[in-house]
Amino acid sequence: MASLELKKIIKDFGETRVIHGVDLQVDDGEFVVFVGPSGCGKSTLLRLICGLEHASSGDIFLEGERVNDVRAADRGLAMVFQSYALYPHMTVYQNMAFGLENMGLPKAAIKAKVGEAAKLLRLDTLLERKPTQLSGGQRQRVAIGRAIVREPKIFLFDEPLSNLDAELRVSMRSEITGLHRRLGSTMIYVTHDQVEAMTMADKIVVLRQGRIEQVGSPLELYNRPANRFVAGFIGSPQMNFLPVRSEAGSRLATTFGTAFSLDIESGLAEGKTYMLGVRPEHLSLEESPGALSLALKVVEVEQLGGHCLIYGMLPDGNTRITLHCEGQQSTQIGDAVVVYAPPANCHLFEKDGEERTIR
Amino acid sequence: MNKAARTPWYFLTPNLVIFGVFTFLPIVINFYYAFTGGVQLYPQDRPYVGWDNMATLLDCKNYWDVSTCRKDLFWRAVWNTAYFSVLQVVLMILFSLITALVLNRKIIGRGFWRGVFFYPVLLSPVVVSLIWKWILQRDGLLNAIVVAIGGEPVLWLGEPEWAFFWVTFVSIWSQMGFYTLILLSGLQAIPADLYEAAQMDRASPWRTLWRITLPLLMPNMIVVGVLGAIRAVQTFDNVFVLTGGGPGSATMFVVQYIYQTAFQEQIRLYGIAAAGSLLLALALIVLTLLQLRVTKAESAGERAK
Amino acid sequence: MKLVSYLTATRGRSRLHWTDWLTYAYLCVGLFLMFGPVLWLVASSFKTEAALSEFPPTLLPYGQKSVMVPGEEKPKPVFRVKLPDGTMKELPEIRRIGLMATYVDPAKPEEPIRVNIKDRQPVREFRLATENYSDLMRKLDFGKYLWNSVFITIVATVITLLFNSMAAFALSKYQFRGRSGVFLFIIATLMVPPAIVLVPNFLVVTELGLLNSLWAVIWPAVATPTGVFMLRQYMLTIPDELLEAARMDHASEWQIYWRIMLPLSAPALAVLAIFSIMWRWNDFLWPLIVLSKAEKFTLQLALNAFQGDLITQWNYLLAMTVITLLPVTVVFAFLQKHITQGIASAGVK
Repeated sequence: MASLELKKIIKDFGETRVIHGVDLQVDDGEFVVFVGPSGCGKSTLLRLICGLEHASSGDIFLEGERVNDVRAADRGLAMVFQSYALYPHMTVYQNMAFGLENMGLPKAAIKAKVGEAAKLLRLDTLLERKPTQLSGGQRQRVAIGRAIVREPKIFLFDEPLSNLDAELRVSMRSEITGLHRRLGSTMIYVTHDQVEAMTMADKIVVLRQGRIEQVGSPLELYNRPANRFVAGFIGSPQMNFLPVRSEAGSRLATTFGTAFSLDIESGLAEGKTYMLGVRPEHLSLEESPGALSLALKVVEVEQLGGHCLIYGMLPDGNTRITLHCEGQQSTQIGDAVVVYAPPANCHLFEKDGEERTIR
Repeated sequence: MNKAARTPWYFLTPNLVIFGVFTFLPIVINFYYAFTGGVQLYPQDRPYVGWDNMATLLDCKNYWDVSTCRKDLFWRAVWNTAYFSVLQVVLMILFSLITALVLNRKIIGRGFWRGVFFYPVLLSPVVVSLIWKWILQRDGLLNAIVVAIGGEPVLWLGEPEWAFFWVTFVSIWSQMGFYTLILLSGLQAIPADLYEAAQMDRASPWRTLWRITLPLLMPNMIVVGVLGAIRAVQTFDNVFVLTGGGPGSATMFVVQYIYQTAFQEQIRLYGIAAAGSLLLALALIVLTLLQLRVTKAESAGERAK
Repeated sequence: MKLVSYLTATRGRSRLHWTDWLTYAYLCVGLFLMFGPVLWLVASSFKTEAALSEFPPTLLPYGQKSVMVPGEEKPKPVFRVKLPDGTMKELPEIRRIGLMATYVDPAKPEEPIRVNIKDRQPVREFRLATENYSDLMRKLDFGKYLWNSVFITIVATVITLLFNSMAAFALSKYQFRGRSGVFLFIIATLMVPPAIVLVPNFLVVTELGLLNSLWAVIWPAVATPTGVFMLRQYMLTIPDELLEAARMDHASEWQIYWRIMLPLSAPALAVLAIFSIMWRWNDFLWPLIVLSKAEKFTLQLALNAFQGDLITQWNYLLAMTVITLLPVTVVFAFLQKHITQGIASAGVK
């Protein structure tokens, strides 16, 4: 059974519509990540699910039951807030016990549950501390602990790692996925960081301006993005885009003269402009048969040791191309290089409002 | 209304009930009193007299000569209050400003000195008045000092001019610390780099004071002036204990007049007292509007710059 | 030498500029002018009634020296006596009849000396007339007045904190129709000075049957607009996420107020508590109107009634004044920083 189901959810704040009819299904035990640029409505969607905001229209089902009119506390969900929202005047123990006390659980049961969660999160030695005496990562774990003790149907995370430094973020990431594996519960996680989405999710929901752009597993999104937005959002560094024109015989020509052919089932209308997309890691300095060749003037080189990033300008003078190559390269700024895009790794997008994927 | 919408009202109710009963309702009743006569306290026993109370209070042949007024004591109180308010507010701003400027310098133990000037603010008006009454009495400390330096003892609170002076002095003494604090926080809000820039521009300290400190402190000084005026107009307890309004009516102020008319006389003229408080309220409204006007003009001026 | 260089050092320069001397001179005059009168009051309150009527007054409290004499029950006053042989000696006076007084030398108690009272001077020593204070407790209803003042101050402050914080919570953390209207209404009452509604408020209190009850002072005072405003401003800074977390934690709205908002607003509540204590302890005009029975007097009213008596007993009045200003002084000494900062930030009194 679906753990959570959203049907035609619309949310207006006054005159502005922030969620435009979202449909979504989350299965039991899934780790779902809502990702999108800031202002895309991902946090609002999470707050609608948890009951802190009320949908203007549409239905929310938890385990098959409509919960639109159920109070946040009674939906059986737990939320980890971006700022952690730890009660600053209570100890770690009191923070985790507060909700259980409000539910009227006996003292012994509370103690057992909090102790268990504390052990799981390695907080057992910190139970008497106040939040201000904890490090960022420890606070984060307390916030998660507060969610765990309530044994919720679904865990909700609202950008929980955005206040941590980069190093801690990586380790907390694996800590949360590890937790997901151990508990096996449904988790919904909101982030603007596509790396977090790719590394943690079973299923990614890409949102833009209050609409779902695509739902799928990380690799589906990477290999078959539904549109140019998703293609650009997933993957780092960003996918390269350049305009191409279709010619006879499904050949495509760049604006500066080179041409190649792409194998497209439905065929292409002649004389139309499209967007060609190639990921930096799929470009190569070595020639391969049938590949599109691009002559670049190098404008920047980032040597990272294990790999390097080369930024170059196309002859048209305003399209920047990023190239990811393994190892160390001797390329210098100002050099002229030719890079090759194998047709198998090329994406083609409509050049209209929706910019849907053709290939 | 659903349950969630009612919740905030539960939290507001106690406060609003108290407000309604002890602030809002009395304002309404005050109008009723002002337009009814007689000596009865209960509204149903009071005959309607229209503007009579107001007319009685305002009945004067010559407003500059209180003896031509029907309620000469009221007009004496009005003039005393006006004279006192102007004098007190001007001197208060002057001394608070000097004190704030001194406290804003690099001094050792600023917290202590700030406390010194602030301490009298906390004392009750009654205590303040008794302290000074003890010093100013005929055989008091001040006369001892006067005699010691070869003067004649003076009845400080028995002569009208001196009594008025000391009433003003004591009220400045007891309130100055509060206004000093407002001005001091205003001074500390002036960015230090402005002074550094002035130093680089070779401005003399005197010029820095006139051209930088005082203009930037203006909003705070206006606040001090208006708050001070609103309080000065309502002065009562200090003076009541110190001089009882005397000698004669030399230090009788409007609030004391209202209090005496309504609560201390054999014949309690609640209507006259209520009319008097409406006139007082009018004066306060004018002062408040003046403040709004000035602050608005001030901020408009800021924008124009 | 070191001390002098420390005292004359300022943070900016190494030596005092003449303006610094002027600054410190001003501050010292201020110290004298602000604290002097209070110190004079305290010193005077320890003088005997006789010493208080002296002119010119002595700076410190003095009383006549007295010693125990063997064979006498009470201590006897000591005089500086010119003995018949012309020498001066300090001797205790046993008794006095008419112009002659009898003295005894403790070294030779069996030989009383009779001297004309012209030839003696009282011997005075530094002595605190603590009886001014102890008599207050016994003779007058001082305990009653003190209790009335304390009761009003504490009860009114507790209710003020409760009611004002509840209102501030509603106004800062809920979205509802009429919110800004209510807020404006409360702020507008800041503009209504109590002096203006004296008469009708007297009627309201009479109608409620509160006249000559301490509650007549408490109830009208507890809904302070200043308090609501101050607490609301503070509560606005408490993140909403904490409330949402508490809601997710099954906390009722009352629990959110009581267990989350109140503890977190402690700093603002402390400032308001200090204000409220000062206001209620120092209240005068309103209690003067509604409390006319002597047994309901607060300290302030008692002081006023006492000083208005035909013959002012200054020794008791001064002692009573000192006791009245004592709590405020103690609070101030400990919380000076909080009070001054609180007032500077609230900008209202």
